[in-house]
Amino acid sequence: MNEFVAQFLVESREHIEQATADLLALENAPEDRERLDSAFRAFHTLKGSAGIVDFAAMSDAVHAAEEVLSDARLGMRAITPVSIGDCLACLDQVIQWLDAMEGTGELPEHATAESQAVVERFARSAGGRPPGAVSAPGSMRETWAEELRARDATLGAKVRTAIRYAPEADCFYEGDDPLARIAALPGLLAIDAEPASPWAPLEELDPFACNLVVMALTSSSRSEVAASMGDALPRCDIQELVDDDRLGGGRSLPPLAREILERQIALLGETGVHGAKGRVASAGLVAANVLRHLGRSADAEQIARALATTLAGNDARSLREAIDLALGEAPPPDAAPSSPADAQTTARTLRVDAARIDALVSLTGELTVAKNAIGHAAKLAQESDSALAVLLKDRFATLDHLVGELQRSVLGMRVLPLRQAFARLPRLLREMSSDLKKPARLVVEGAETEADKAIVEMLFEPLLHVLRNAMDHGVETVSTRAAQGKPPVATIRLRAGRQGEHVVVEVSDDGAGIDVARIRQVALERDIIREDLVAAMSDQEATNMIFEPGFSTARVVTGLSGRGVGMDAVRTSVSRLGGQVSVESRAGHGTTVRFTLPFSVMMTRVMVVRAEEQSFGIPLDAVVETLRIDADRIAPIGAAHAVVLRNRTLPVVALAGALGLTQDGRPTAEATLVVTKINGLYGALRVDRIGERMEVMLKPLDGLLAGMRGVAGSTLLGDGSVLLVLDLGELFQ
Amino acid sequence: MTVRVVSDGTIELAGVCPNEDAERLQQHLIADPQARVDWRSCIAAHTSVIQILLAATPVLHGPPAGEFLRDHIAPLMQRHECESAGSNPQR
Repeated sequence: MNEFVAQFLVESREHIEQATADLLALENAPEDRERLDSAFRAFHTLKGSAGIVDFAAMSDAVHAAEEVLSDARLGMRAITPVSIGDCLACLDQVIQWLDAMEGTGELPEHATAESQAVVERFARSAGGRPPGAVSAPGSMRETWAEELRARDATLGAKVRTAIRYAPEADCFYEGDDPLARIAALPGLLAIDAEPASPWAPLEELDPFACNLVVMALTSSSRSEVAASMGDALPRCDIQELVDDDRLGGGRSLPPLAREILERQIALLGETGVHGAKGRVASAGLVAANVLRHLGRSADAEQIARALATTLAGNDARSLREAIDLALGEAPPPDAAPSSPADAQTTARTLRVDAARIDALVSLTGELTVAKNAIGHAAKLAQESDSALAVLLKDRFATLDHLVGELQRSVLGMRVLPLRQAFARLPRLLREMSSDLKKPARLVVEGAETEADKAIVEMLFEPLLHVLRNAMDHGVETVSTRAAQGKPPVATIRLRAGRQGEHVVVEVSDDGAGIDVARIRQVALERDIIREDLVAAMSDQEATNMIFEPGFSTARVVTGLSGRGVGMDAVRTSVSRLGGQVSVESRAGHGTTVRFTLPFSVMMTRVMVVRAEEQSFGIPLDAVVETLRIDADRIAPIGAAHAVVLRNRTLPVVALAGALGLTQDGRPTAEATLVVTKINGLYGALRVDRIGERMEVMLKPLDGLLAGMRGVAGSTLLGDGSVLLVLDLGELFQ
Repeated sequence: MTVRVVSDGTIELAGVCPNEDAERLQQHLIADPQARVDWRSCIAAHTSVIQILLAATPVLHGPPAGEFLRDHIAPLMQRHECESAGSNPQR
């Protein structure tokens, strides 16, 4: 895929994420100005980047949404659930396009028609405003500028930019003075004004409503005009009346790129705004990215450096100058060259391809293996008892320490905030909530908790599944809730936090809780468990049966859940990454599903066991104890075996048999057992011998071995041999 | 007071006319549609005030004191007066 497009995809998804979060927040608080501005900016930037990759259909669709938000910012239209829905639908469409582009690298085929549908949807909501009216026709725009210029021939070559500014009608209330803005334009040459709608008779004229459209000609550049207009910029049409070539020496920018850059300058011009530093940082990043898109990486670097200077010095000027420069504007003569110290400061964050990080992780893994090999060699040398051996042992300790540090740093680079897995959930809950007619709100806590990328990426599906279950089975209908004195809007809490080496994510609802009696009944109906065992089960054990394959208590298959993919799928995907899932429920009070996940998937502590002269690793987390017993105590039960230990009956799995290894068939009088506990269930693994414990960097199996049952991954040992690490959950199924 | 009616019925704009002056100016012009507006001592005026002048097109006594008013708004007033005189001959 073209690098251009790849970058476009990455960034567009970020903007979509931002816009979605803003829209959802706006739905709850339509007056939230910051969210509105942020959503507007996200859509605006999306439109800009669509322009850069020449994706006109996406530009049009996003423009329609931007228009709605722009009107809302100007107080011309209220933010309603309908307009939020329209904007979200627009984003959905964009996501589909992006997905299609991800696959093919090409612009999606039917985008024009789909875009038209989005635009029409907005038009319908706007009350029959025809789609064409959304954007002003270009031909009319040009005439006013030319007419204005023609009016005063003496201005001639001095004229560089024309601006047409239509202030909002209630701007006087905001304390705005549109003509004062125009008066403040740098290099103002001429102005004109006309009524926005024909003047009412003086008696009926509302003196507090602005009915003017102001036009002006200036000798300053487009970006200077844009910066001067500040937050009024969305109400302005600015046109450069000179050829780009004259300014940029052939380095002219595409109009949309130019617009984006100018918008950043305008952002920098706003002063006294809350979060100014963040604003400066994003303006700089956007500007640099635009230039990078255009292949002008030298300019982008320049901007990145200027941004660092600006952030360090709290003065937006150097960044502004850098952007101006990129726009082809000459820097103001008083611009001092940045000092060498400034030039050395670079941006604090880097965008790095995940594949490069993975390569680094993998290299570190190899290094760990090499280090272990040296450890092995050091141990051998020690047997010879030479001075060299002592030295070697000493050096090895240092190496061990350093490689450990390296490993931690490298794994630290793979961490992502859980926010990435959480981001789409509020949106989806909103849909479920309206589909099921069960009002609900999602409270997210600890979204900044970090975990390994693989964990964060895996987590979305299980969370969504649990969320669906909560809405479908947990949360009651409004009337039921009312009858029980519960608030009509259900609360679903998504809470994440770090607990030692684990990341814990909980989804709790305040619904009806799990109906344990029904679970028992269904378990019997579906032959999941024998009747006498059901009776003997505690409520908690019975509740845990929802994780059994084939279990689903939904009476009616809804569009949401109950489609046969049950909690067992959730458990499988979580345990594949070394995590566990548990459920707690209180009748009438709600259900909590808890995911306990490793912080990092890569390092696993294993215990080595041997069966039929082969070594295998068992995750130490799962090991309860190891013991030797008389082989007679293992009793056959049907085709399986079991052993009674401390009044508990445990299933016994012979490792060699389970893995299909050739057994030499000599029964031993003693059996070595490893007692394990996985997902609350005990089991015993029969092995030949128990070896050392070690920390290994686990690699998932790929290629031919990828589908191998009972094996979680592999690692290389110090002596160069491969150790397969077992997936006990699969072995005991 | 930045808007006031002086002895001969002329409406005088003086100093910096704020937003609130628009309504006063409007009331004076409704009371006396033929009144002249003297803006010689006007330094600056809010858009709302200028809007009333543009809508009512009274006879202006200038030039105004403020640079922006003199260089940009006064010529604009003249053009508007011509236009509205053309389209509205009885005035």
